[in-house]
Amino acid sequence: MKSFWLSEDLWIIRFNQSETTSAHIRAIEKIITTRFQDVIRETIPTTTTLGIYVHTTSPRTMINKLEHEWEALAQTAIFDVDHQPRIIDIPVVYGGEEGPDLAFVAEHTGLSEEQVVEKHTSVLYPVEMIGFAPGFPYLAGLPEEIFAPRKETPREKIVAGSVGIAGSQTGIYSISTPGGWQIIGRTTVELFLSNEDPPSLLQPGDLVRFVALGRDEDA
Amino acid sequence: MLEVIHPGPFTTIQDLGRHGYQRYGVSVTGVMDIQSHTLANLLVGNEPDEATFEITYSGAKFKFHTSALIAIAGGNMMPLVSGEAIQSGRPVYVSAGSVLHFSKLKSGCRVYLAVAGGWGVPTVLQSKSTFLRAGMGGFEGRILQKGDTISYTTQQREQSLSVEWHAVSDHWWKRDFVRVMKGPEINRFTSEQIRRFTSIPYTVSSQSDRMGYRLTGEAIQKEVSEEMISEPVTFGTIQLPSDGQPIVLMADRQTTGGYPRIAQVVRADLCVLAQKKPGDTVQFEWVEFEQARKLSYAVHHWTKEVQASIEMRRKSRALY
Repeated sequence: MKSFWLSEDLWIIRFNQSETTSAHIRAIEKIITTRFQDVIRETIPTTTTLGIYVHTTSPRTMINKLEHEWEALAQTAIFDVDHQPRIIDIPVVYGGEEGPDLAFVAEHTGLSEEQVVEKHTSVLYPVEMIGFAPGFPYLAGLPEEIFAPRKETPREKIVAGSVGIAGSQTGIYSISTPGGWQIIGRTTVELFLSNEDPPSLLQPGDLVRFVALGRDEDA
Repeated sequence: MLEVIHPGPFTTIQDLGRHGYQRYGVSVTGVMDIQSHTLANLLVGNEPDEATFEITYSGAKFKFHTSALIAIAGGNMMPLVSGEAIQSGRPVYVSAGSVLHFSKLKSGCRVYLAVAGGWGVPTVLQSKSTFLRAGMGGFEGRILQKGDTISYTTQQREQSLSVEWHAVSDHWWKRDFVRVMKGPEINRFTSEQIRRFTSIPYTVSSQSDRMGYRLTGEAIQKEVSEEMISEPVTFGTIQLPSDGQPIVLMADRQTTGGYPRIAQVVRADLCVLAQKKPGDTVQFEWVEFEQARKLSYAVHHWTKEVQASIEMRRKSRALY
């Protein structure tokens, strides 16, 4: 583990990728934010780091304390082995107008379109982090057989709900935005909930299951 | 009520940002020039985190249908109230029917317009800031348009502050050097590249907006481009994508980024960049982290001093 200040108020703890799971990072996040709640403004867990924003007006002594005590505190982080993650089903219409790049992914991987869909719906994907756009989940665990490169030229607009593949990652566009992922399908489930708190359907640690819908079914 | 007669090219409502939701991918947003925004608020007796208008470039025109106490700080856009020039950096009482016109950009890039009591827009996830990309916050999640009307608390002249008070509002940003500290990926660059980064000025390109400033000048390219896993980034993080032209992340930045971070702009100098427009130049200057933190505390103390001083004048006026 390594920690450093990026700016006056953002402190980053970088974990050893091979040794740390995202569940571990979240357990450490919880124990540090509980202990230093007066100093910490917000935290951002990512795949391999924990970003900690402190209040710029916090007394220097408290910030020093956080700097010196976090590592010992992290050692005491307990994770609940019995904790059952939430499983969230995302119904998707694959291919066609909803998934214009399904054919490309099939061609690239040497599979049929049906096989790509079968692979994509065959596993539970852990949400590693939410980023890039509000409510946008970074999902781990894409089967290697359907890895596919980003588009060379990003699209100017990808509609919200589009399900994409980029390299070894899969994700769901939570808002309409430009983007370079290969779009294989679309869901009508809303991921960014602008009128709710928290404003994201998914949280780090959830498991996502894609469910293929027939074209006539209501996604 | 305020009526937008002409919105100008790019006007949004912003406060000090939406904090606490970056873990859900929600950008902080908020004002670009924190010091000018804070000063405008303090001058009308608001707290620093009240929302102001952030007016970019020029050309905006607003009508106040009821009397109000306003203040302007930041860039100089030759503000006129019903045809008469008014000064930045002081509270100004405007009577019902007055038209405020920002006529021409003379210096800086953004001006902040505060009204006593704040602008009447809803608080969304604890902030009034406009998050354009997601269409939330501020005024209907978008830039202001002709015909929009926004409420505020009507002020009578007797309630307004002494107009004798005047604060210098441009000393924070009126310069070309921007202090930076070393970024986490600085070791990926050669010492020669690190030296060049601060030896030649960079120009703010036309592809610069509230999300980020693209700079053009000395290209700092790495021989091999390495893939990075996305990590947290913040206001003022300077990333170097593979073309070697720096990108400074600004108020509407994403929460995480995957390009090498060569440097970080010190918080106190973000306003210098915020007041640069395309075509302007900046030169970076290395400082140590401790120095950056001292500068940041100094901004905080300045805020407290201005606030106390205004409060004192207000109280002494109430006595007579």
